[in-house]
Amino acid sequence: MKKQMFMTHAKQGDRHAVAAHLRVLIVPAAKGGFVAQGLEVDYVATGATVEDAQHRFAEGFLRTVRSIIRRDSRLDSLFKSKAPRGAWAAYMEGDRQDTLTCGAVVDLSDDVASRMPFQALEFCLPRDRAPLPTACA
Amino acid sequence: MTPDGDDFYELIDFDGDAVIVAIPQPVLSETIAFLYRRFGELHGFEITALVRKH
Repeated sequence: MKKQMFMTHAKQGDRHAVAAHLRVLIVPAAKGGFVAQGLEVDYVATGATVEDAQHRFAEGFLRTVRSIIRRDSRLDSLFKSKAPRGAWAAYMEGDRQDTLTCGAVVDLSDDVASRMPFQALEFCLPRDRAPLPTACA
Repeated sequence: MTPDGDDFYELIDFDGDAVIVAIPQPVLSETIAFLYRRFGELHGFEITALVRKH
């Protein structure tokens, strides 16, 4: 079985490349709107719609990664707090298992490059489930 | 905490590590719970810091 990393960080000189594949729980907020809660990384974003929450989560997470790198800090600071256990349970028991796949390149030697769009950013909605077999052959 | 445009704010903890969070109005309780979980115990995060003047 191929080992799947949820975050990788490669550095070559002043150039950093970060890729992440994170599970994100998206649920209705208590008083309207939606909440996106990261599981591997305790990060939260809200929005009026699912798409708003997804966008803010992705944008904020990547801005955080870039800020950490620019401060010459360590990415493991993302793990100072843990997602609530209830979020893990809700994700595993829910109908949708959203994941966020994203990447960022930060070149500390080139200020213009640092303002370039992220190389890849997408929310992967749950795949259509294959129908369960109805009977054994 | 400093505004970072488009409702994004950069919060710095005691270790100098940053988290950039979107805090749109109205601020939802789920956002407040997250900020307290991440920052509240570290340096007495004040809820009033989330209130922006119009």
